[in-house]
Amino acid sequence: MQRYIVIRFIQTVITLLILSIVIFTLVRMSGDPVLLMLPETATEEDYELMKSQLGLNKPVYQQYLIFLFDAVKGDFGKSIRTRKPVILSIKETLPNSIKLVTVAFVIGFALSIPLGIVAAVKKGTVWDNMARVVTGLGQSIPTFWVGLMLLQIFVVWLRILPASGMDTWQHYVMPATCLGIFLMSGVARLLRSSMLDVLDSEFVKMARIKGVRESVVIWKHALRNSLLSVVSFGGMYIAIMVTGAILVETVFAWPGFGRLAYAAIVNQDFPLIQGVVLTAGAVVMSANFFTDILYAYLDPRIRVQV
Amino acid sequence: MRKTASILALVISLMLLFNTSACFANEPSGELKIGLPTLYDQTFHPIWGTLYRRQYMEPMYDYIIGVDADGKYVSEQSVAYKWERTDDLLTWTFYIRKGIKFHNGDDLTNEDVRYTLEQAATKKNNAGSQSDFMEHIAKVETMAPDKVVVSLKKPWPTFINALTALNGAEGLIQPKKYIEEKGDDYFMSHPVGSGPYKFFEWKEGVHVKFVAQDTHWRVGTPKYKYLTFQLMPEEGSRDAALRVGELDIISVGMDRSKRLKKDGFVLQEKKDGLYVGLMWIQQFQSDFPINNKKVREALVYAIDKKTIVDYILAGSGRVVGTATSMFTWAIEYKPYPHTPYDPEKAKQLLTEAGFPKGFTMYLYSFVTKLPETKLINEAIASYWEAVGVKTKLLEMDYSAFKPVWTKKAEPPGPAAFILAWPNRPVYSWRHMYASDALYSHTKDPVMDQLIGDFESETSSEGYIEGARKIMDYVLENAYATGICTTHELHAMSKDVPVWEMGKGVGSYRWEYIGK
Amino acid sequence: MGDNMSELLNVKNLKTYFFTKYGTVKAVDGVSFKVDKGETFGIVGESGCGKSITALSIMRLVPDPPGRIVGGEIVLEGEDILKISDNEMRKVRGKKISMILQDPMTSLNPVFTIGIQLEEAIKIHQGLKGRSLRERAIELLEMVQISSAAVRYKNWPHQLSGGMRQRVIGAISVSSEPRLLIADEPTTALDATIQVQFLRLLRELQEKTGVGLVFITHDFGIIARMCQRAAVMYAGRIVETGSVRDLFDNPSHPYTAALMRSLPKLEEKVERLASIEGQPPPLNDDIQGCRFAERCTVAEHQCRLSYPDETEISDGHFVSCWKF
Repeated sequence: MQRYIVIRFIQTVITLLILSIVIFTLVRMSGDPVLLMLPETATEEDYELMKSQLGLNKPVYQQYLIFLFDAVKGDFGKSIRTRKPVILSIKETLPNSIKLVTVAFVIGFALSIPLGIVAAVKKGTVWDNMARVVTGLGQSIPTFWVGLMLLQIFVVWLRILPASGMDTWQHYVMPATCLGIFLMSGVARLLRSSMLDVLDSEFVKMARIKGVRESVVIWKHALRNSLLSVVSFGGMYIAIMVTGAILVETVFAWPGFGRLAYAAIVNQDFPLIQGVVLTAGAVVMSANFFTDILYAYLDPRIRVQV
Repeated sequence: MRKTASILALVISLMLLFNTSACFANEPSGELKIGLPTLYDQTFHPIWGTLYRRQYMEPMYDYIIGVDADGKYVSEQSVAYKWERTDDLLTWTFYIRKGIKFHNGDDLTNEDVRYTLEQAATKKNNAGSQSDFMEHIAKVETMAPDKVVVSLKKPWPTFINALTALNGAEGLIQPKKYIEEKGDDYFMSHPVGSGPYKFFEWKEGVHVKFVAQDTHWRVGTPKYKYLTFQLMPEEGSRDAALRVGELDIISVGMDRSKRLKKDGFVLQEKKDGLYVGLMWIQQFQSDFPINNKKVREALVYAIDKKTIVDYILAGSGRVVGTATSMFTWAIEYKPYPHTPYDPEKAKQLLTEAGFPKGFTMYLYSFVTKLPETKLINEAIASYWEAVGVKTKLLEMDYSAFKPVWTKKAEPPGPAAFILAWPNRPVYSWRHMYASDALYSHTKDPVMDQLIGDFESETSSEGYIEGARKIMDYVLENAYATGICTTHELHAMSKDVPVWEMGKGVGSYRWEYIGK
Repeated sequence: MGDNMSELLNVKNLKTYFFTKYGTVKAVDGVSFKVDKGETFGIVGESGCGKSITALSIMRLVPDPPGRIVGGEIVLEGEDILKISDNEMRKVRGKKISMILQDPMTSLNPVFTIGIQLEEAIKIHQGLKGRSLRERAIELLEMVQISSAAVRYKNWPHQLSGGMRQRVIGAISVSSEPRLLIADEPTTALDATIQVQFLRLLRELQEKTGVGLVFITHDFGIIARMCQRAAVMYAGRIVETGSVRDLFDNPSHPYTAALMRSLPKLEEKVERLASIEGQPPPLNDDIQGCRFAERCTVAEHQCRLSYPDETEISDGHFVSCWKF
């Protein structure tokens, strides 16, 4: 297990290194940052001056190394637009997103586990069809639209929830539900199919042969095995959440990381883009890392050597 | 039981009475919440960041020269209660009003004005007119008791304009002592000004909040105790928040504004907020058809600007004739004749120029501050097609376009682009039309001569004349053309009194609501 | 009456159908047989003949939908277990009837230790707790000859070999001392030497506990080795029942006879084993007559018209064929 963790950790670091090279190159290929920063009244001299100020006249590999060493120290430079250290903006927004995503995860799993189980256990019945419709809608309706509908219903018509902000629990209801629904649909479908596989397996039959109560068969024997395949997609959910968060945070004016990422890209704020992408990468990687460990915890075949 | 109830009722009504009487007292009250799609850089240093930040920053500061809602200089609204210049336009003297205090209690003096002007003429000025200030200002001195004397390197007839809300944020007075003690970085997020509203709270990505002073030399007692600028990127969310009273004013698009109006909300227009102009890419290349004046004219005649305003902008804008922002000082507020829509003439000109069958044009299309830019591009393309010019739209990011604009990348052929930029005074003819400028696509010795003449002009009249000559020359040669301006829409609850939003870009005059 | 005293299981005219969108599959269509206490009864047939479904029907674990037991009786110790409630049936499972599945590699839940899985069964039916529960579990592991049982007890299934896993399953199956144990091809997935060991173990367990054993296999060799009596199944029906000696010495149904001919015999040297021409009929066809008729070398017109009744050709030797 320890060896496994060390190997996974090294893999994570290498992936992040590759990501840093990719984003560093992409940012420089997507447009000349100096031109983007200069006002329309700038002259050739201004161009050259700024280029040297930003260190962009050095050889590319040297630029990359400087960027890398600063990044390791947590210094992604200053935003072109706000002149604020990138790391500060990330520190301020990332926790907000994590809070939101955590609540969304709770909602998503609280909905998807029963939904997936019912759909699998009652396969082919009305329940299964209902679950299929719900999850199908959840996946195909744009999150953005769901958000606007929630706003219309709960804010404009019922007037029971606030439209924006993040001070009280009421503020979490709509954005977290919105993200949660999106997550729920994917997880419920995945759970349904893996649950069907597991329910068909010999060890479930064996459990029934032993006289185990059906509820125990489902919640103990089948669910834990089905969750394995759900957990193995953990990193993917985080990635989904990052994209989902951009939309949800926009609709509900949530001061989160998704919106920071969006602003960085829209404004071509290249130090911010680099910082945001690397942070997102690190978040997804560590989520993957932890889901792998969780997976190993849930699956003794990985955790315990023969 | 009943007795208790009636006593209670009496007490409550008394309390209410007191409350209302408090409202009558001369104090700001309540909160005005404004929902905006972006708060830009969210920094509060007047010259560290874009001038658009004035949208929320302005109530916190005073301008060296104040203007009224129509854009006229008003000395009663100015920190400089009087200003003078020498006839050679090289020395300007400002007399600074006494008794104004910064929010931290320091007096606002001529030293602060000097500091403000000096800072504007440094590289750290990022508010838009850096090069103007750096090119002109030689030295700034203070003289007892209240004078600031500015010596210029060369005449700058529009110097006063540059210190007002009409131009940029350079005229907002910065507290010298405070900044020198705390540093620019600290000041950026803990700003101190002298305006009617004090900085109260900033939550990044959430809101910026200001609190009113009880009384202020410029506006008297502000109507609202708090001014809150709420960041809400999604229009639908702003709409919802306005409807439930979470917001009082929202920035809104044309489509939605109609529905909100029908539902009883008041629309408030900020007139001519953006200027939309058309420019050519590498018209100087002799093998490009647009190198021919007649072709350029034809392409301008072919565009139906009025239909663009009426249908794409739903009437919220107006057709312009000038080839740069209509507020350019020399021609300010005077309607400039614009090329009429005349497709027949366009075809005739193309034939005369030797292109009876047309040719292929490229039109760069990228996202600008105006969401309708893409539609306008498509309209222009179809107008050109209608006169026989095959037009290919090149959709791309602004970042991908910029190398083309700066001539660091080649266009696939004769090309043009439209740009929606803030409708504010432009004097930098050199940057736009001089043969050797980074962004210029004109190579015309006459133009270079006109620009040189304009820049060496020493009298106000000559300056106006010089600017007009350049403008006329640009239009005559169809080196660029204006399409239209657009009005910026806001919807607000009926409780908010209608006011004039001012003329400058980013200047909304919030502090004058109810005045 | 004497018969009744020794009778453990009596399956009468059992019918288990699967209702699919391609039609009704009559997987088990009128199967009857008896098992006495302590007896080992074999059911032999090729794959798809319905022997496993018969076993699952006795456990009442036919997947529903699409499968359902549509008729017949399964009388266990005088009680028709098709008539009792689901909950009562659950208490019968594991306690009175138990079953060993074919594949030991997949029959244990990979995420729980074998100790937990063994204890689960004991807990349900015997209500043991704590130390005594653990002791009983280890005792059972020792009974199935797992060495250092106290250590193995904490192992996960993947740490055990196939043979060991099948023995653990055996331990689970007999943990509550059931009256009837169904073994559905328990050795098919095991190596030959392990097979022998496991069969020996089953026999020992049977001797110790006196459990009645239904042994399902396609392998006549195992039938010969393990069983006193056996039934031959073909396409959802039993075609011949009798003592193992009857079946080997006097295979009377043409199918049984054909099967016997296809067995390799030590004393004879043959060039090529006889095989049966053709395929079993699809079970969703509505066949009135004998299901083997299409492949039968001696079939007559009558064979295709209606199904032959069971005929007792000698004591305890039943055949369903128009020849008798």
